[in-house]
Amino acid sequence: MGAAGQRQILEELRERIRRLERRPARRGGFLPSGRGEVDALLPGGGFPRGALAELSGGPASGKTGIALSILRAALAEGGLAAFVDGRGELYPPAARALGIDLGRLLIVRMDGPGETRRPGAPPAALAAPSPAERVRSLLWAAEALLGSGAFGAVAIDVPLRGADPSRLEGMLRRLGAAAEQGGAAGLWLGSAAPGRRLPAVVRIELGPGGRVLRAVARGTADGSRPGGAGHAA
Amino acid sequence: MPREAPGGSPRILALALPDLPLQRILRARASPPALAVVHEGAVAHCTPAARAAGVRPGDSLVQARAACAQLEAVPLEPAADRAALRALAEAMLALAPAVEIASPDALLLDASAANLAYSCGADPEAALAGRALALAAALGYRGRAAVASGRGPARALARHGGAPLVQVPPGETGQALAALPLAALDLPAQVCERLGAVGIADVGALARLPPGSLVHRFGSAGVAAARLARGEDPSLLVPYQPETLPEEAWDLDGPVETAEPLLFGVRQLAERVAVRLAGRGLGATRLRLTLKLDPRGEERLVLPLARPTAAASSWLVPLRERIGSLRLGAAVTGLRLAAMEVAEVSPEQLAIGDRPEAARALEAVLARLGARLGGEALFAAASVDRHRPEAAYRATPFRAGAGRENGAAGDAGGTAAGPAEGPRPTRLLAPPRPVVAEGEGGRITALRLDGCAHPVEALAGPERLSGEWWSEPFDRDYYRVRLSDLGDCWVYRDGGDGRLYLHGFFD
Repeated sequence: MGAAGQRQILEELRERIRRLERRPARRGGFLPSGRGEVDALLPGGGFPRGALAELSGGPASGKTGIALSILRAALAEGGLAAFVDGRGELYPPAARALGIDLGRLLIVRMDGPGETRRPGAPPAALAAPSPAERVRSLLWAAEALLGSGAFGAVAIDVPLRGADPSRLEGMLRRLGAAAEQGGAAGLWLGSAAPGRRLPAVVRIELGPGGRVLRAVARGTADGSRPGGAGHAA
Repeated sequence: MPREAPGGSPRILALALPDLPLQRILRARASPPALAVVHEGAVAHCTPAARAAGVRPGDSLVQARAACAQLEAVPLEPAADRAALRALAEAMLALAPAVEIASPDALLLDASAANLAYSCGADPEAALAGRALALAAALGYRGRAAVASGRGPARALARHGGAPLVQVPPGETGQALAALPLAALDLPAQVCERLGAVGIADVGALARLPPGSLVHRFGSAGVAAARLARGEDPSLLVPYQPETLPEEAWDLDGPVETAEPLLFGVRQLAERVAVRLAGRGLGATRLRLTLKLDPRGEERLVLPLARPTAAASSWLVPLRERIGSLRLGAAVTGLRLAAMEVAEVSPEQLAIGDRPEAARALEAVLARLGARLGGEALFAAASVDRHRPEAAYRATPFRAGAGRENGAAGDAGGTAAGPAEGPRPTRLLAPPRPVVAEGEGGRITALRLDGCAHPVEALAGPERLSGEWWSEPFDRDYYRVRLSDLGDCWVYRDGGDGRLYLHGFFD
């Protein structure tokens, strides 16, 4: 039996299991960011569903804008989107200005909305969880959202500072598996500094002002192998 | 005092719960023992196991214990039985527009609109009765139902009709009642005795008596009894309105140290609490599970839920997780589940493409997240008409797009993020970080942030934002500054202290 035949059988078995578990149907394909210079570098012309993509760059490199554009594309298909906001910095009015229907965007923040955090206001609750517990909870939330099948795209902005190194690898690996299980496009927002390797099928490094420094794509979760690696300066 | 229906006797579904005190005790236990409910020293109700050992209702407790040494005697608790009826009535509100509690052991449901609500079946009244019996069974009660015209006749037929479901067409109520004993009509004891003394043994005999003779012998009570016997009861239901939030308890067979029996009990409780909430059109937003510990003490778990729901399946996921992560110092002997906070459940469907699996998946994941992170951690943003950037949005419960007013298309009044405003950064820092400007010849060449200078490539602005003089006045000039090694930043000069602050990134 050829590889194509095996893939078809596997797909049929997955569909049967999905029906038995009464899980939502998975959607395949890609979500375009709407940024021509980024999409052109990606096989399929967008970010793959059912897989994790990494957008890394400095604090004003444009990675959040690209992630929001992908969330908007997921919302435009009638789905839902989520933003795991570990830094508590996402500014919803900007998301709205980008055309995102805020009512369909779930924001997850450990400290709550933080609406009252004004200049000079004291920091959040004193009884806050430890940094390790915080990272663990946020990654757990991201995994749950990605694997739920209810969200078309999930952006994850979780600084890993203070995380328990012995457990981190496993937690990050599970994110990729969860995205594959739930069929969501997972978008990991990373810093410019080289960090841990994520199980991401797409990596895009951005420089100041949104310049694409490097784009790499490998085999996606649905079995296709674009195999391409693009570079731009 | 019940009012009279304008168009004759209303159609009523009566649900009688035989041996209610016994059923109430047994439904909270995993397995039925040899047990008797005792009132004033005599057995009022007993389980089949007790009957098999020779115990009979009416026996004195001494006699009963002689027949069955292991007999567990539980005193009759009329208040607890009334509470059980109220709980059942609460759930029945999902089936009928009005429900009356007919103490001590029955409920009356308005069946006049059954043909509207259950029109898909051949017999809407039988469908309603079937649903009521099934709902009672889901709550742990075995019942008998009767559909007839009038409150009194329906109740009499349910209690004494002898079949699980008695259905009497309009106009035939009198014939249906004829064979029942006089006790079925719930007449005053004195009237019953006097009727018995003159040889009136059943309802049919009472119905055949000439009305004149009854007025003479028994007064108005006699006339009312005769009308009831003929199936004439135009009185309206006295609707029950619940005032407290539902709470259900479950006693375990013995001290339990593993999760599986606990989860079984929790599932029973969740379904019962959910059915009661659903009857009122409510969903729980916070649950409390109390575990009774052996030999004393208890552990309380409070579970905030992401969205109001009366679907027990949505509660089970976080409940299972919390129970699974518990480290108890003692075995558990009982469980109690209460809805602490509730909210109305919106009848509108989740706006996620009408995909039921996706809706279920969403409910489950929101419940899990809410239970672990707390309800505050999950929200959808909505724009607010405020110029202060950090107050230009507020958190609203995530309703999966049910309300579009906070979406891109709505929010006409939001000036802070409206089209007339300048661009907004994707990240806002809280609190803003102080920066120092470096320059030469009146031109800013760099911004120093945390001791590090960042060269300025371009600068646009200012956009003046000020206001709120009535509470916390602010006056800021915002600039979009392009730093060559970082990118675009949102910086403001505070009119109050004249200093510069980095407030966000155009990331």
